[in-house]
Amino acid sequence: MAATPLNTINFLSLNVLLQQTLAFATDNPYQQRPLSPARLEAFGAQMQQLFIFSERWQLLPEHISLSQAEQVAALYPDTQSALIDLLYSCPQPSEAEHWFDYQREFRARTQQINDLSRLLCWHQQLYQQLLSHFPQLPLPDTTPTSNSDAATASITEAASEPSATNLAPVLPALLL
Amino acid sequence: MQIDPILVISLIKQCNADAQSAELLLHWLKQANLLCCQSHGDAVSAPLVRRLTAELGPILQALADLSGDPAQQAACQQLFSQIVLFYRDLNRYDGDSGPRQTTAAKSVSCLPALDSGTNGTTATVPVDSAQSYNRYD
Repeated sequence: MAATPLNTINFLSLNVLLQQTLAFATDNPYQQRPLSPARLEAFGAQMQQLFIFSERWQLLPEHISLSQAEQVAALYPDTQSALIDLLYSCPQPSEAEHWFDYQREFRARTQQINDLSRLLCWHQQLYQQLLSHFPQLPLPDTTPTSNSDAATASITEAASEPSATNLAPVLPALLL
Repeated sequence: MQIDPILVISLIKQCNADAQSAELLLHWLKQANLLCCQSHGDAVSAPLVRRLTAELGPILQALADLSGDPAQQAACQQLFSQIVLFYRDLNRYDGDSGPRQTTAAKSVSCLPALDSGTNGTTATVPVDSAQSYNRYD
């Protein structure tokens, strides 16, 4: 009950934000350093797990076990890394401000930056609340180096494989 | 401890960093942001603090390389002050939680390099000069 709910954005809006950012990241041809489809897919799945966990935490705070919190905290470094990379790869809106496209590109870029900023804030808030609520959580000191490097190189397959296998045991535990 | 990742990302973009320095700065930002989040809880991870203290040198080097173009100097200046702010806080934090580990890491990483460097130069230079003097004599 002591959990302060993350009621800044509701569950469905979070999902909409995620879908919008993923659509931009897959389709926009002007991105500075686009993320690979495999990484985007893994990121989408992980973020959805975080949304579901957060919603369950708000609705049934007494039914969240430490192991579930640990699983969610373990998703933090990868998702944070992907969010930061997505923000970086989004091209500057100001560069498209005077294009002859009725400001479509300008608005799409602005929206992408706003969506990602909101997701990043929400994401940080969730992690901070998780840490203050479960002080016994192990602190991830593993930096997401392999993943961030994978954004540029073709190591994505190697990097996304372990995260994909990690998802398998987490999903049923969260959904049950 | 606080860092604004959205601001820092936009500053990195404004600085027009090349791929390598951008990668370095983004990698730093991910770690710094992780540490900031942890600092809101009860503890921070000591290896992360150590890695961030070790990374200050490369980060400053990357900033120095970036600031060449006058058009980007304002953004670089702002980025620099963000980084300085973060390390001031980190330093303060350091004193509370793992001072022994970090100072040990620092002394190990810095001192041998300095020693070998100075020893190397002082050892070779006098020998050379001595030889040249001998030759001239």
